[in-house]
Amino acid sequence: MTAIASPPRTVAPPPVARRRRRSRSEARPALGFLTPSALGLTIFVLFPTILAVVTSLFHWPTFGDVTWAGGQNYADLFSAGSQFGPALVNTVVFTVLVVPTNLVLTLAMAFWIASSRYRRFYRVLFFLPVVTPTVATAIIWKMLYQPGGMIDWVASRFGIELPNLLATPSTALLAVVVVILWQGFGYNMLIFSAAIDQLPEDILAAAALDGASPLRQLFQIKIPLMTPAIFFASTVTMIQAFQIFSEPYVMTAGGPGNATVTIVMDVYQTAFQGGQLGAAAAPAMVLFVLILVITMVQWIGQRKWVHYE
Amino acid sequence: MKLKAKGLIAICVGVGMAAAMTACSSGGSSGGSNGGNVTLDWGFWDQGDAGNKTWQGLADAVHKKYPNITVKLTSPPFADYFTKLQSQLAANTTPCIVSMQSLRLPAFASAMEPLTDYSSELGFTASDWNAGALKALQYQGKQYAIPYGFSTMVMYYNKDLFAKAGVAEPKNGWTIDEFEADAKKITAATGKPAFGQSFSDLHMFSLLLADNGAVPVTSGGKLDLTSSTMKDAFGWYSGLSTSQKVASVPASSSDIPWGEQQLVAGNVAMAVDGTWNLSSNATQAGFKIGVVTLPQGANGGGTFSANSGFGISKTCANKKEAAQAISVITGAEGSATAAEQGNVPARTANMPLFVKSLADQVDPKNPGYSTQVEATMAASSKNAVPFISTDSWDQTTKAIAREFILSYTGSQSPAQSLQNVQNSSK
Repeated sequence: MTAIASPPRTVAPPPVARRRRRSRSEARPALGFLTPSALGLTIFVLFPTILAVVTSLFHWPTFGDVTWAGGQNYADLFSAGSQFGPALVNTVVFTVLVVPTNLVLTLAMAFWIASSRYRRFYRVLFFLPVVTPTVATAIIWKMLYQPGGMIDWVASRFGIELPNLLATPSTALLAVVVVILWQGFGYNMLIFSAAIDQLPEDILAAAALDGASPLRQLFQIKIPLMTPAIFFASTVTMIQAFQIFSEPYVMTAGGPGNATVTIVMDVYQTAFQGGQLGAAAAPAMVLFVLILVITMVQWIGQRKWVHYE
Repeated sequence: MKLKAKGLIAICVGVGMAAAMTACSSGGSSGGSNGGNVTLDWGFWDQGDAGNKTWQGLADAVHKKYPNITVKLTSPPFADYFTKLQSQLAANTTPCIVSMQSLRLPAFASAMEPLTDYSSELGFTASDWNAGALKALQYQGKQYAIPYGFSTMVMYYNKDLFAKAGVAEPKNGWTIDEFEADAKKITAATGKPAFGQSFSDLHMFSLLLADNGAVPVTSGGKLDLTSSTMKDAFGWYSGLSTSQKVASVPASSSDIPWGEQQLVAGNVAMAVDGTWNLSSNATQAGFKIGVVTLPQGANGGGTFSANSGFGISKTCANKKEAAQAISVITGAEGSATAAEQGNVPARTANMPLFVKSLADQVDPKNPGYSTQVEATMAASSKNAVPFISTDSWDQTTKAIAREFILSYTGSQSPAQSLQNVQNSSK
């Protein structure tokens, strides 16, 4: 009995034991490799995040006594006269305008320069705004936009009378969107440009031999092959769009009225102009959850449209 | 091996950060003392190249008199100074010597040390000073800062543009009606708006005060933008661009100094600015600049006075040394140096030095400027009242910039803009 029963037992355990032994032998190095990044993540990400959650639950002035607030800071976000509502709407509008436009434009541009002899030059040229300090860019654009500035002057040559672009609610947000697009353009273009260069020649050649039209090649072969890059670019651009701050802050300071105020600007103004750190942490947490949820949806959704080779 | 080393570095950095954070939270602000040697940070908004040199000179003078004290001056732009101060307070890195404007004192007084305990280090005699200047830097009866200047809001104008338009230069005691008439003539003659609007608290509200006596804050320190006098005055001010079309509108809400900059750039003929710029405006402008009291309406309330001074932050580790440093910076000699460099002095004895500096520097190119300045300063101080602000003034000024531009461009009624700012400030 034992002799019959034992063989399978004796046969089966070894892999498990080997696996255990191996995992035990790998555990230490793994721990060693993980510790630095885990420690960094804890100190620089996890700890501040928890601190922000805690801060949002208190009345926390920059100087003076800290008192318990419970959910008051969150309730205040939706009270009358609060800036958060318009900031949330503007942030969503910015994102909806910036992300698709950016992706379509950069993708089109990347294909356009891909066939050019000077594509390296174009890449550098279009990447320049990305490496230029945002504040400097925003100040220059503000000068272009202001009455008597270049845009106004050119329009007046053609007999068009422009409003004060950054001081009029209907144009201020669009004016800022244009600058954000211009500024962020080069980054995604570089990513797409690299993805185009890496498209497998054999597949493209096969498609051409099979008589696929250039347009069909583009939409059914090239773009599907580039979906990992598109997914990366769209995720990063989306997160950046939700965190828009510098351009509107420098150009319009959130005005006119609340036309260009964003969530991050609301956080900044509440914290460092209003001196209310607790009340500033609340919209920051809302933004955090918002970005988290949308990014999760993107990750889940990518299974349906991103093709990894 | 490489990774291990990297990890080690990361851990060291992490530990270092943690140590630095604890050091920050327990150690208070600037001013490490090392064997009796003390380094004090001094935060003061940007004064332009020439101005910064003067104040750096005074920082050096502290070291000369007290070799154990070194004063380190940092100069952010005025528009960012108080925002920066907020974040420094939050991070416990407030400079030892804090520059404070009378308007902002109510908001920051609790972060500053009353100077009553440091009178021996300061060597302070009240009678040496312009009484209004001292009083403006008191809060609830306590002196929080020693003034370096005393200013009133006045109207600067471009003499060349007045001449070009064939309009006689304004004289002290002129009226709002005369101001409007001049503005219309100049706008018609030059084709450019004659007056530069602004969102800056003092610059805008002083002209409203001059128009009909409107004040934005009650004597008890509460924001009061919805009074009928304020609605009338702000309606008139917005109308300068919307209906009378004689005013240049700021390009955006982030242009908090506008009219005063447009004037110096030569783009407008008139703008309100403080007497603290009497010297710098005259030397920077590429034309002859003039200065006159604010035009008054029938119920005009004169003009606002404001001034700034230097105090000690509560978290300063070396308060005694900070007081000694301030005594040098605002002392008789320091004040004289500053006056000679074109800073309107708060020490009454140094006033002639200031006027003489203008006579030497500006009069050769712009004859009669120093005499005009002396007369205008005397006339405007006579009917100046201190500007009272609230304890959340900095935030209110930003809301003002965002809302008021809608009225300057005509896309929102003046009364609505006032109401919105009032609602946003609680």
